[in-house]
Amino acid sequence: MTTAGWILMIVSMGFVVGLFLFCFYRVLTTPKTEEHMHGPLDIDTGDIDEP
Amino acid sequence: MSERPALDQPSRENWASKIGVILAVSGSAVGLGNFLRFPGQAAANGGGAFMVPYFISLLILGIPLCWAEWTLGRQGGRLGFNSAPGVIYALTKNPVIRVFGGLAILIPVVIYMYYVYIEAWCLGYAYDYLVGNMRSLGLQIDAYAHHFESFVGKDSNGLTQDDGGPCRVVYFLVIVFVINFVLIYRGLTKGIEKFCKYAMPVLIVAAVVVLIRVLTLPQIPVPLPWQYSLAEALPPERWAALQSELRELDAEVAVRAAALGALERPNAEAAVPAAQGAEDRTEEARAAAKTALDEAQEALAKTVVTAVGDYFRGFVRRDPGYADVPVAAPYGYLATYDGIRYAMRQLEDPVEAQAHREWVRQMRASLSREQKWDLMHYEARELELQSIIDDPEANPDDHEKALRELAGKRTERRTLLERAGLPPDAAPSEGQEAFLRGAAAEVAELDRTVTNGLGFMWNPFTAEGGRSIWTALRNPQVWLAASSQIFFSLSVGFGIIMTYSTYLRRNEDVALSGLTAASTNEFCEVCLGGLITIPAAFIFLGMGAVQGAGTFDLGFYTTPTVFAHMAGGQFFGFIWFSMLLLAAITSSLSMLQPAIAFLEEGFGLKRRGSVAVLGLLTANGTLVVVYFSEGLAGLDTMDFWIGNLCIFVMATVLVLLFAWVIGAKKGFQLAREGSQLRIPGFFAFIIKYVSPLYLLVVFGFWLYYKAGDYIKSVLTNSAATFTAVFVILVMIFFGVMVRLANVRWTAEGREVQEIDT
Repeated sequence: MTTAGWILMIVSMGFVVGLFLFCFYRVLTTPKTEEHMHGPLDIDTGDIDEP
Repeated sequence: MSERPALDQPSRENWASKIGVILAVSGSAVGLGNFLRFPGQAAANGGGAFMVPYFISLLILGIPLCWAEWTLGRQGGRLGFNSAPGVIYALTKNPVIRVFGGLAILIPVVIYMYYVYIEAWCLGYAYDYLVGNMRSLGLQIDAYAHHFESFVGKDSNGLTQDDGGPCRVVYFLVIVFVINFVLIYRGLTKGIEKFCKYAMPVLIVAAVVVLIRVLTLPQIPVPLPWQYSLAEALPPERWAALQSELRELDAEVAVRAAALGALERPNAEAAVPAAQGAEDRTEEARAAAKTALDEAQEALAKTVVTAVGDYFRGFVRRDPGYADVPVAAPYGYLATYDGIRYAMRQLEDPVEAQAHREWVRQMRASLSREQKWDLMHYEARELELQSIIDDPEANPDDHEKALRELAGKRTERRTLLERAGLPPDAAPSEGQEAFLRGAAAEVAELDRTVTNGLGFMWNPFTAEGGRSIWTALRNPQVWLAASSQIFFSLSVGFGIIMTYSTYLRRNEDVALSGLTAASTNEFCEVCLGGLITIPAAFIFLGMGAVQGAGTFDLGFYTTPTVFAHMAGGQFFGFIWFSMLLLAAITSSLSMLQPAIAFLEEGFGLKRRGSVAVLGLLTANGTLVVVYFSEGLAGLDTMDFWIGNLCIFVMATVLVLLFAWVIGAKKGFQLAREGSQLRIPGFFAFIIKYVSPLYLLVVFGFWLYYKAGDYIKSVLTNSAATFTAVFVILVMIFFGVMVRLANVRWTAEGREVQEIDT
């Protein structure tokens, strides 16, 4: 295998593995967002805070 | 964009989890193309140099198109639609683009019709490995080629075998058909998502198991050509009988050649006794004599190939006298009459044989691998240049350039020959050329190690035998092959991703999910597909078996031969074909869902009804493919017109819809909603200008290089004609269906009143 072959293989693999790991890391570590329908009682208007 | 609340829509299915949809989309993209098509394409188109246009295409075509399709689908889902025609109906009022929405159903359904047939091959091979049926095929690649052709019925059209019973493949086909429809009947989350959540990790683990086996293979001794090795490998009496048989056949060839020569040179008959009786010198007689000569030459070549096959079988059976000697079966030129004749001359003339051995030894010692490789390719280049020089209509500049290059090549070759201890002015007569070609091919055999196998796949090279990456990149074929591979591999332009993403929640991320699905596909393709098939085939079978091998050749002839040579090959063969089967099922499931969604949404069918309609339609299509199996004409025709041509058209429609109808800026604003990854702003420019232009250029080149043969085939081959007519009927059927659905949606008041772009 030539030097150019090694370089092309390692760079290609590195790029793909890096992208793959980055994406799955982000997918698995990002907190799940829930879709909430907020009723009026859930809304914090801030008007009952202690002065 | 105004969105009507989906409160009055039927209850919609949603993906149960983010990872579920990612695995389903990547399952759709990961298929046989990743493990079989990619390595074959890379090895044939510049080796490692192939990866440069490959990654450029990924960045400017694959990923932007993925994001576009994910975004369009989610937006359509927000507007209450789950099918690709529905999404397109919701996003544009342009009637032409709405009509093209039908392609997003047609493409996956027609591809399913032949893809499920290939899936049945994978199941059949996995089963045969499991029960040990493949053991009986021995070690010769020809046996596997014959097995494959008989298994898929490649020799003749019809559904029956020679004994009148149904083709074996039909049983496997029924099984995979049922598996697909049971899973699709179970629905999105319980069927597709659940299956992909298990199948994708299992598939990757199985591929990694085979990969580890391949990367830990020991070095295999480089076998000697048959004329040197069979003498020691076969029992002495078998070798003597073979030599005698070859002499007789050679004499027969000489007689027939003389007869033909007499007919072609009427004044020479007196000098050719064998031709004296020939009185009829009509064209017919000449044709008959030519056929007779071809048959005799073919018989001679076949005798050697059969003898090598007999050796492998005898060795595997441990028959007495069959020694453990590495034998190189003749491939390519060396398996032709000229190649066999050249080898026989060495057997007949020990002096020439000794000179040849000496020459090979000196070549090995004196020249680098690159120089041997160059020497092997000089002849082909010289012939090309000579044809330009001999062409009276050639451009004077080209003529001059060819003369200069030829002079340079000859000087270079003389230097190399001299260094190898050969006469620098070796005459380019036919025999000498055969000698050079055969010997150069032999010395170019590299040691059968894993690193050399990887080198065969990853070293950059040019068609002329050069090693410069820049020269390789100047070849437009390399760019076309790489762009097409990215395009087909990521499953963009099918309408599948769009359908899947309609089931996302309103603000579910599409940017990260799209990129993750694409990266999973790339991981399977580059890291697994790029390291398994070609290196393993190189180690056991050498360059001859790998060069120019197509997807099916590589998958169903070459790879099984590799497993036959490998310790534990039956087990690894089972794992490999099971892995391909899983990859194929995750893809074929995704091809059914768009039509199921459309039938339910466009016509209010329940799941049972939509599955029944689609089952009936696809069963008919698959029947056409299986029936017209001679030369795989049915499969090939559908693949070209739908699996290639229509996908280009559909991808262009999607890009235009995203970048020009909705607007690239607005499109990426939509993509960023709920996004867990920042899409760089320059992608808006890329998808608006670069991607469509690049797509059209690739499409143009692709048509230029490929379309001619297929148009001719449809006009001349009745199987291809019938298949094309069937495809057109399906196209009309879906066109009408989409039109009816559009009318229905409009009547229901589902048309979006205001499209804010």
